[in-house]
Amino acid sequence: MSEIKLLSSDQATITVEKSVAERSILIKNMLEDVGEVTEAIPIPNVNENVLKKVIEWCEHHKGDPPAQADDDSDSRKKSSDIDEWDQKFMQVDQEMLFEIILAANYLDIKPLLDVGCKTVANMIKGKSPEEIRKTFNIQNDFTPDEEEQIRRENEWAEESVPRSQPLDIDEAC
Amino acid sequence: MPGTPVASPSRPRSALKRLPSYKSLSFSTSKLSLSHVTPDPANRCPPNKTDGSSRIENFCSHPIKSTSSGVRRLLRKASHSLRFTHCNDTLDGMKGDKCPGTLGDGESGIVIDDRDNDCFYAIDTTVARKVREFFGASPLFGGSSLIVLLSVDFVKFLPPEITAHIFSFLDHQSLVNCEPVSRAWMAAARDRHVWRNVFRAEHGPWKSKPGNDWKRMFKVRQELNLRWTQGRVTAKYLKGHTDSIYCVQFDDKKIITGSRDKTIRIWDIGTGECIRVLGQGSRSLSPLHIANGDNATPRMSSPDHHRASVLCLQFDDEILVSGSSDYTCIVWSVHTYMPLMRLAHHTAGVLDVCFDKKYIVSCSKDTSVCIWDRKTGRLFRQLTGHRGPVNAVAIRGNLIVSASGDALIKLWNVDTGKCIRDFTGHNRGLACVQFSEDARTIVSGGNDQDIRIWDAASGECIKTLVGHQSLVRTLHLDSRNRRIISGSYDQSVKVWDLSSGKLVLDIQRFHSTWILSAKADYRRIISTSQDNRTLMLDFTTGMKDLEVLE
Repeated sequence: MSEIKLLSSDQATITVEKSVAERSILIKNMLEDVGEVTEAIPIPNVNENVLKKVIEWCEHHKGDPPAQADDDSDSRKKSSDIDEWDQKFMQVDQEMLFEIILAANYLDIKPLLDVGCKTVANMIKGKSPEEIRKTFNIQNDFTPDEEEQIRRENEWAEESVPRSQPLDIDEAC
Repeated sequence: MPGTPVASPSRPRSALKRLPSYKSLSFSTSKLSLSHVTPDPANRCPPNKTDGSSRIENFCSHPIKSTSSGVRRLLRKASHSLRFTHCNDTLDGMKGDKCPGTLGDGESGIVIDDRDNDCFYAIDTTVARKVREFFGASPLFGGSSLIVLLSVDFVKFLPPEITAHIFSFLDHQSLVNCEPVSRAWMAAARDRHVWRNVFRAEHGPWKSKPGNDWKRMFKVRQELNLRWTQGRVTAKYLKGHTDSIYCVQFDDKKIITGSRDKTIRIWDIGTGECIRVLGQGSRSLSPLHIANGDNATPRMSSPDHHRASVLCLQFDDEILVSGSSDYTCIVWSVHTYMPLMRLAHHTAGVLDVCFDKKYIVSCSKDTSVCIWDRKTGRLFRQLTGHRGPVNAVAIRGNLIVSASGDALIKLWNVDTGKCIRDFTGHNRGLACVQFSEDARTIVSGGNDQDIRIWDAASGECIKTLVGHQSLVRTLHLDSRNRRIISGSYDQSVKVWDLSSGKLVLDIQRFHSTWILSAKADYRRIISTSQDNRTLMLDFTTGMKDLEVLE
């Protein structure tokens, strides 16, 4: 079982199992191109803390089946679909969360990117605009009129009438 | 994955571009790393750490250079907002409101701007420490203060493709709630790639055309779904068959029906006109009959046709397969409507037929199921085991499900021909059975008037849908639109929600006698009956913007 070394942006060297590091498509492709590497591979955009966190995720998920190509036939994805370990893994502050997302994007680890993005999506879900502003500390730059207009345009998206009302629709024709 | 925002094609290329620098760097910095080869376990980031104050400590203790530009930016934003300084606006004005292109560094996702890093970071560190000192003492406020400190308007600094990816996981209601948040959020939440993903997540796959306005499409689908729950339809009857109509299937262009009058008719779905008739019909064709306008339909003198009732049919974009009381199936070209071959082996009427890319499956009153090679028409296997007529059959992948007058549902393995299991629960003969698209669920109906939903893998009955007051004659499981359509001898067609099992719509009194077949898509229900008529219920009449779906 071979190991490789990664060099974080803050010059920390981390030794990691090659198969674990290869969850990163960027690293995998690079190793394929370069062949045997004994030197530490610089990851200039990711600091030690984040890199360790990413490696921790890769280690836990090293046995996962290879990522499937996006299946267009049934792409119904639910953002609540995050497995328990990943949910706990993502219980970090926003700064770390976005760092993980950026690192996953940079290192090309699609499943980790998805888990990160789903986590953020879950922070938005079901919230009012005002609650979203609070959650992410956003300055509202709309006038009340503008805001009202946007709301009106989107009224159609409100929850529809209660379902399951059996109707005799004889008159409809 | 065309169009998936995050995996933009530029990324792999830029990754490759970086390779030389990786190489050279890795050699030049090798000396540095020796002492750090094994990370100090104490330094490791505990996986489940949620305690914010220790987090702060963690990154405050970093040397300045150890923080990536992303963290610096986050901290800078956070500290600015914490202090509520007006320079927040200038900064955002400079960096945030630029067009998305300038933000999207395909590789790092962050615009690297080294000029102001150190001094800003220094300020941030101080602020962070102050906050920690201020709130740290109180465990109550410790958490919430950190949320203020560390919450960041990610839409402004993440590359647009990552924001789009995040938004793609939202439901439509949450997504429209993002619009009034701020201008930047509105622009991001209206992105058409985001709406495409949200549309597909809710309504399944849909043809992607350049220029599709997915948000508008979603709106139209939403209105259409509302009409389904309200039962706002217009009805049109297709007349032409001279006896009971046993079976129907339709697509965007045509409707095909099979009748006890021994013919198959093809109808234009737009106009409702009969455009072809396959077979001679049960009544003699007098010139008078044609003259007085049996639709002046081009009656085919096809070389072959059914000599008894057409009981069942299915078509795709290549072939039409029909089954008849004449004990045979005929495979037709769906382009020319010429018969291609006849499948003969059953010793009684063919009650149901289905097919996939490889096999045609027929079931018969002779209590057997036949599997035929679709290409050659050769009999591949005959499944026996039912003790009564097999009224319905369905195939998905390696599985066949059959339902019989003996009240049993059987699941078969296509390759081995073995029966995998019986589903028991119905206490009268069965008339219809269907697979869900993913083959995990089976629905069935029959003479006990109940519709049952089964777990295909365990054989357990998950739900029983109660409502029909007579034999359930036909079922259509519309996985894509999450509906079950059922038709019964009680003369009603009912629409059920696939997930909840609740009755959504109860359509009564459109037919004056038994319903024999019913199918649906996102906008129509088409049903046939013993009254010789095919009924087309359209939920879209008078709807605006419907063309965005076409």
